[in-house]
Amino acid sequence: MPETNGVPPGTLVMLVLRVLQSGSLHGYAIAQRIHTITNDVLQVEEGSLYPALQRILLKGWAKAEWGISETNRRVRFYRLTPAGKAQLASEMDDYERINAAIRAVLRTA
Amino acid sequence: MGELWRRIWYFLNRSRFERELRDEMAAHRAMMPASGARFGNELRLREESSDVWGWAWFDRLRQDVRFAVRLLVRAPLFTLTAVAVLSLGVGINLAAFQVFDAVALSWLPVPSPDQLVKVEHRSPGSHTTSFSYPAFAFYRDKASAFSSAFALAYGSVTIGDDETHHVRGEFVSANYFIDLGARPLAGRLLADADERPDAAPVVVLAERVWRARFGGDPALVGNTLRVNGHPFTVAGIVPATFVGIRDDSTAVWMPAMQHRVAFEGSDKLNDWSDGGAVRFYARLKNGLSIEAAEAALAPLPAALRAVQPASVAEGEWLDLMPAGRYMPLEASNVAGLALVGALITLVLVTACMNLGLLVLSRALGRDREFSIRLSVGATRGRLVRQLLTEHLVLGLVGAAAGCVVAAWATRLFAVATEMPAGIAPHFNGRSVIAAAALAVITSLLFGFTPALQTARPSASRHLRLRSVLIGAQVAAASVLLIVSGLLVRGVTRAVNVPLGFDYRQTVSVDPDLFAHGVKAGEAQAFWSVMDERARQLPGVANAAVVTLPPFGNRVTINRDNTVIYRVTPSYFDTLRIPLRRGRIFSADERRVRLVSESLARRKWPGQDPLGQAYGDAIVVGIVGDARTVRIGDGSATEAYEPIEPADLPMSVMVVRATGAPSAVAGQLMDLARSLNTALSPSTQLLAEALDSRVNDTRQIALVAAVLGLCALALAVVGLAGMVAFSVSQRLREIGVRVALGARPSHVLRAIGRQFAWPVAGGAIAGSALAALVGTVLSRELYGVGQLDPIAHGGALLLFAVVAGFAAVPSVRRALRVDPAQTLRHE
Repeated sequence: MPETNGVPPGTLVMLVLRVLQSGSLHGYAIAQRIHTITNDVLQVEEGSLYPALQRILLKGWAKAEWGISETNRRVRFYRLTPAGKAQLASEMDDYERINAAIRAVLRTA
Repeated sequence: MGELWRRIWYFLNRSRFERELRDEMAAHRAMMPASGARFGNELRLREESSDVWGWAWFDRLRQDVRFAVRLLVRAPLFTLTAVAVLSLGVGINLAAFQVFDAVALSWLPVPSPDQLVKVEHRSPGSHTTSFSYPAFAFYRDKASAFSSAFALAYGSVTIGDDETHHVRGEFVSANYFIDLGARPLAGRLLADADERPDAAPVVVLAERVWRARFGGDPALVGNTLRVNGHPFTVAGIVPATFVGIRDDSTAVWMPAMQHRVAFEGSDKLNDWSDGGAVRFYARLKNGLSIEAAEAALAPLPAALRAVQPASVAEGEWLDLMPAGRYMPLEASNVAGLALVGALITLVLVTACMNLGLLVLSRALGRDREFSIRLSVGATRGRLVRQLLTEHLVLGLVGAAAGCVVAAWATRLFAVATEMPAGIAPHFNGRSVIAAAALAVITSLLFGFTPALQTARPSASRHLRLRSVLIGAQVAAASVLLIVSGLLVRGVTRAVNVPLGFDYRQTVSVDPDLFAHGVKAGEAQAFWSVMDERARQLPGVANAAVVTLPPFGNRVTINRDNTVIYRVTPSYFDTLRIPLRRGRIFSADERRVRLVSESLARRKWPGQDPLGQAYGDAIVVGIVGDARTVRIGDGSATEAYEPIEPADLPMSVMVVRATGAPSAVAGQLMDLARSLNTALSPSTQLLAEALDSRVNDTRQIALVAAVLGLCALALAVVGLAGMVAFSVSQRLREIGVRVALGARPSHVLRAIGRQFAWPVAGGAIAGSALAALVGTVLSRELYGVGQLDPIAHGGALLLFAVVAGFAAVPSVRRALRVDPAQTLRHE
């Protein structure tokens, strides 16, 4: 993956699902939210955001509805489905486990 | 909604989802800060997003197809030639498949055809396909494995007032039509009541005969029709769509019970000794396999042997064969079918090679296009895929056109070979699959190597590939042409070359004594009077009695392919078979034989055949070769023995006339009938019999000739196209040569050289293959050798001449090259 500002490979879907957990958002807002929460550390490229969103839709982890944005534009809001919540939980578990393992290596080796 | 369904949903509503994606991205861009020009190429982003749906391959395929169609439309001459060539190749193969499908794969149009079996009997030393009627009745009544059974007994009969022409009659069990689900066209078909001993004689008529002989007169039903001169009531008409079990050439059907009426004196129904009386068919009980049924039937022959020891052999068992198809695939016909299939495939091969050449030449002209596409980033794989798509499109269009050709060809074939209406070839699921398969196979065959060649151009490989393609199609076309030449030569020889005996002046008389239940003693009396009176008739030169009717289907043959005739001594003079050495036997001699010259030469090479032991007999004379039954078989030989009383019920008389044989035929018939009024004798002019006998081979030859001509046309189109293309490519070179003083002969040689080797190689390979096929076909060749110089030479000459003429325009163009003009042209 070409993220120069570094969304770690394979975590983008999890991050998107996570920000959607607190409420439905449109594409631009998802990118903005990740950007601000991480204090400008993580930058989501649009080129990977939309394929990821399409994958999330296809897998049935979120549903999309057209609505009006805060700036009065017609945008598509993504809302997490129960399947999406389950997917998020399992991805977070995996991530925690691997992270803990990596940390263990870094501490002791 | 699962993921798969969502994918399909996306596919079906692609344009809407594309639009939504576009709007969404547009909104995103609008919301981005002005400095953020990072959104990148929108089109590409959109493509990457929609690729997630998994339909990218489809879009690319659609692109390729659209591009291919546009290219094909822009080159109409190429496209038309290609489609024409393909439609011929695919059409003929599809037609052949449909015919094969109709006769060998499709079920007969009867209820539950999968339950139908033909019953035969085998013992360790014999295999018999027929039964005596009482044996059939015994098995029918005892066999619990059968839900029903029926017998068919063949009888040659006259119908109506015409007592000279015989038609095929079948005496059948009364449940025959019911069991096969036939519906009458008029009146009724046979019913169980017709099988009672006291039932009145009824007959049902084939629609074909009803229309041809009686003008389709509805009043015939319920009226009287004379069969062999005996009155029968016409019960009904059998529609032409009825196929029965290979029963489509039958003219009339009667209940088996009525055999004794049609053949006065016949005791067929009670005669245990007549093992050839009936063909035995049965229906297996629901769900029973052939193996299980055979096992259930196993004890029956032994039970019959206990009461009728003479009619059942030791260790005999009943052998069941599937009978639900018109021509079941059996070990005996698979080889022949494979040969025909291979020959027909050659037409397709020729077409493919031809197209390969066309495509290859066209690819040369597209060099620029391909190098541009490669330089702007297309991969070679993508180019090959594009080319294969083009060929697939061409293949599909060709296959569609081939379906039209096939429909036309099968109709023609069905008419020419008188295929029964009930099993006429038609389009079904299997044909569609076959057509699609042919399209894919052809497009891969003709497209694959040229596609590779295009992707990685190499001049030397190009030339090699072209030589192979030319050679292969010349070879395939030569095989077909030579084989059809061999068959045509065989037919001509059968008609024109002396068979070793006089058939033009000869009539055969068959009183069918056996069918009328005439036994040996009675037959002897009949023939001695018949012989004496026949000789006294005006216009009769000589007469003889023989067991095997000339040009008939009956044959007694031993292991070394020698036909054994039993004859009266006058046979040789009657048929004008010359005595070469020794003497002719007399009528009451025993254990003596005459042999034909070829047999003598084969069996006792370099020795004197006279006085040699042959079986349990002594050779007393050598006569000329005279093929009267195995006429097509060049390797068959003949041996003769004196006729014995036991042979006489099954024998026929041959009579040579001094004048027109047709004048004698009527007198002979009257004579036979006057000796025994119960008889319904038939006569046949041998010249006519030969003609109908040769007809089968003539049909094969005709089909082969059509195939050969198609292959010729294809190969010549390909070759002429190649020459034209090569000349147009080399105009400049030719101009230079002429400017440097080349004569027309030099120019010709320069053009011819590149074609000479592939064509010569192809012709030699074709000749060799055709000789191989000829060896297999030798039975149909009437003694024409598989290396017959006229067939081989003629076919190749024909090929050369036609190809030569087709190349004339291009060659003239080459010879007329004006060096000044071509050189300036650059």
